[in-house]
Amino acid sequence: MSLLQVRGLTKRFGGLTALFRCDLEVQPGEVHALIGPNGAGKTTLINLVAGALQPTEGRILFDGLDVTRTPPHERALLGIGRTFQITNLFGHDTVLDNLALAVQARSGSPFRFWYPVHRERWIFEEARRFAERVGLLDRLGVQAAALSHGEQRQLEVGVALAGRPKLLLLDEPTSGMSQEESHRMVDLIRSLRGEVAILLVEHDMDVVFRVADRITVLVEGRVLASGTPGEVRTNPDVHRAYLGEAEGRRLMRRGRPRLPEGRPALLRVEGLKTFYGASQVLFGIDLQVPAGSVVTLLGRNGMGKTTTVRSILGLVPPRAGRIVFQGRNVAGWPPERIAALGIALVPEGRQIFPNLTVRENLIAFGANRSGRDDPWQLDRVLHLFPRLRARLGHLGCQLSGGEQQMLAIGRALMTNPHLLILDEATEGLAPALREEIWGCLQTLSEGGQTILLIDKYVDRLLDLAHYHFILERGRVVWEGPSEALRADPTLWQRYLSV
Amino acid sequence: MASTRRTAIAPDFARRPSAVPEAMPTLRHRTGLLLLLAGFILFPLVAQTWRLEFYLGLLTRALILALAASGLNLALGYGGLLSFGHATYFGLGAYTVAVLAREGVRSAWVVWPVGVLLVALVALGVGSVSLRTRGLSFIMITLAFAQMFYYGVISFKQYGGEDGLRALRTDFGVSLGDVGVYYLSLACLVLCLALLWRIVHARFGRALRATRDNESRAAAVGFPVYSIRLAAFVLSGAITGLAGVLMVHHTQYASPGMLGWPQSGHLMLMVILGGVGNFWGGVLGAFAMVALEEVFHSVTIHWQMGVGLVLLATVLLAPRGIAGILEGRPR
Repeated sequence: MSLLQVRGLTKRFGGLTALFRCDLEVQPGEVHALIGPNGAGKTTLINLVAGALQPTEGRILFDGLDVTRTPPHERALLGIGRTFQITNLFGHDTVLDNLALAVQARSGSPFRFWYPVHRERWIFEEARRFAERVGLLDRLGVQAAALSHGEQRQLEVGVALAGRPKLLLLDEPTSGMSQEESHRMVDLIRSLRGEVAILLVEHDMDVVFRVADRITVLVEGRVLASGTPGEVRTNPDVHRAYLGEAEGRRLMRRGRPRLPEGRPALLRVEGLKTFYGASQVLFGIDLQVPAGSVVTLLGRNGMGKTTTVRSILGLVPPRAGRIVFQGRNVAGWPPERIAALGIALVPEGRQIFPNLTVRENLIAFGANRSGRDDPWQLDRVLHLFPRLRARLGHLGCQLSGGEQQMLAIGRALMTNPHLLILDEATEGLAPALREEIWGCLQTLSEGGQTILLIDKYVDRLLDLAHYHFILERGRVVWEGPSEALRADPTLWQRYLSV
Repeated sequence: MASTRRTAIAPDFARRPSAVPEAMPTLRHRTGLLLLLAGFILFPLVAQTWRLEFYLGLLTRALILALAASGLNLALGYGGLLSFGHATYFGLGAYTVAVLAREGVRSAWVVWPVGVLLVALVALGVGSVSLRTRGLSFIMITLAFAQMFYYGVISFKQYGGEDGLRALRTDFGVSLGDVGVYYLSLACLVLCLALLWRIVHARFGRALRATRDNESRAAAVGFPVYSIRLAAFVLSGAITGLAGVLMVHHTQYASPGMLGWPQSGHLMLMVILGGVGNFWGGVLGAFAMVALEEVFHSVTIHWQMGVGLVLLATVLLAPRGIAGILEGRPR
C-alpha cells in the first residue's frame, strides 16, 4: 500500500491555480523526486501535504488515514516530517536544542508543567544521535543562526528526522550549498533510503538522478509525467517542458567581445575592511567596475561576496577603506543615500514585499536615477518579464520563486540605476529559468547597463561577464578577464569548486 | 540569512532574551535568594522598631505588582504574546473580592479560589478568540476585550460604577492586618515563582518558547501551537488575577482603573524594564518601578516624566532590561 496518496489535489490562490487535479503516490521507503520549472506548484504541493496550506479540492491520504483536514502538528505526529525551502529553524537555540525540541515534540504531551526537561537525559542523547547522523556532532553548542548556510540546511534535515517521520518532505535541501555540502546531502539522503520515504523537491538534476527511485514532473500545476528516472529522462514531453529546454535556450553566444580599454571606473573599492561585531569578514578588498561592464564576484560560500556588496551599499558600514562611486567616496554613507546615487541591489533571497502587489512592488520604486533618455518604466519591465504581466494584481507572497526573482530584478531596474548588483539572482531557479534570467542580463548589458554579479554558475558567467574577481576569506585572490579565467582551470579547482 | 518566517505575535524585543534556557540556579544564586527571602521575612519584625512602617506598604505593593508582572511575563516574555489587556485579569481579581464582600461573602477559602478561577475562565474566553490572530491584531483584540471589561465594570452602578468599590479584607479565620497582607503577598509571590520556575523549565516551557521563536517550525515538529499558547495565556492571566486579589487586600479598594489600559501598559512596562522573557524580569521590573515612582514622587510632582525618561533609557541602552544588566554580556 502506498504511504502517501494524493488524489485530485487542486489549490487556488485567488485567481491563480497553483495546482490542478494532481495525483501522486509515494511508496514506503522510496525516494520520490518532484521536479519541474519554477512556479510549477512543487512547494505548494509540499505545503499541502504538510498541512501548512489547505487544498481547494482533493484528498490526501497518509498511511491509510484521510489527513486532508488534519492540522500540521497532528500530521507531524502521524509521521510527516518536513524541511523548508527557506531555512526555518529555532535560530536562537543551539543545534542540540533544535534537535531536542523535535525529539520532545514527538515523545509525549507538551502539557507537562513540572518535571524539568533537562533531567530527561534521553531526549538530549537522542538529539545527539541525530546531530551525528547529519554531520553536526562538532557543532552541538552553536546557535542555529550562527551556522553556515550549508550547516543550517543539514540541521533542517536533522530536525525533520528527529521527529522519526515515516515520510520526509525535503524542499530544495541542497539550495545554496557548495558542491561538497551538496555531495554530503546526497549521501545523507541515500543513507535514508528504505528507512523513511522521501518526497524531494530539487532543481539540481545531478542530485535528482543520483538519489531518486521515482520522479514526478510537475508543469504549471499539473502532473506531466511520473516514473522511474529512466522513464522520465527519455520522456519527450518532459524534455520539451523542462530538461531539454535548458540546452535549447542557450541565449548567449560563446565569448564576449572585450570591453574597450580605458573605460572610466563607475565604482572603485579600495582597501575595504568590514566587521560583523568583533569578527572581521573583509580584509582589504580592492576592485573596480568599469562603466558599461559586467563584473562578477566569485568564490565559495562564506568568502565575503555578499558582505562586499552589502558594504558597497552601506548596509554594513565598512570599518576602513574607500568606496568611490562616480568620483565620490560613499563609504560611511547611509544606504538610502547611496542607493539614490543610482546603485540598485537584487538581494539574495529576493526580499520582495510580500504584502504589495506586483504592480505596487514595481512602481513604488520608479525613478530615473541615472537620468537615462529611455528610462525603464512599468511597461518596459513587463515586456522584459512577460510572466509578471499576468500576475500584476497578485501579492508578492503569492508568486513562485522564479517570479519573485523576476520581480526583484524588475524592481531594481525601475530605479534606473547606474549600477545593477545581483546577489545570487539565479539561486533556486530551474535551469530554463536561469537561462532566461541570464538572457535578460545579456540584453541589459548590451544596452549599456553596468552590472556587478554574484553567482555560482561560473561557466555561464564566463560568457556573460567581462571581468572577474575571486574572493577567498575576505580577500581578492585573483582578478582577470573571462579569457584568462577560462584558460586556467586550476583556478576553478583552487578557489571555486570544492 | 533571509527569512520569511511567519509574523510572530511579539515584536523583536520579546524574543531576544533567554536564547538558552536558564540553567538551574547555582549554589551561589541559591544562597543569595535565601538571604533575600530571609530579609523579606524579617523586615516586618524590624519595621516597627526602626519606624519603617511606611515601607511595609510600599513593599507589599511591590510584591503584588511583581506577582502580576511575573504572570504577564509568562505570556509576553516566554510566549511572545503581546497581551495589551492583562489589567482585565488584575482588575477582575480585585473586583471579585470586593463584590463578594459587598454581598456578604468574606471567607477567604471561598473568595480566593472563586476569584482565580473566574479570572482563568475569562482568560480562557479572551485567549481562545484572540489567539486566532497574530501581530498587531492580537495586541488590538486583547486591548478591545480589556476595554469591554473596563466599561462593563463601570456600568454596574450598584458596585460603585466609576467610583469603584471599598472592600473589606477576606477572612482566613483570623483577621488580616497590614503585616498579614504583607506575608500573604510574599508567600503568594514565592509560591508562584516556584511554580513558574518549574513551568518554564518543564516540557511546557520549552514548547512555549519554541512557538514564540518560530511558529511554523514548532507546528512542523508537532507542537500544538494554539493549545500551548492558550494554556500559557490562561496561566498567565490567572497569576495576574491572583495579584489582583492580593491588591484589593492591600488597598481595600477596587477601582475601575485597575482594569484600564494604562494599568495594562504599566504592567507591560514593568516587564520591559525588568527584562522581557527573563525569569526575574517581572520581579525586578516591579520593584524598580515602585522604587522609581517613589523616588521621583518625592522630588517632583512631574514624577511620571522622570519614570518615563528612565524607561526610555532602559529600552535604548539595555534592551534586555535590568536582568540583562545584572547578567552582563549576552550569552
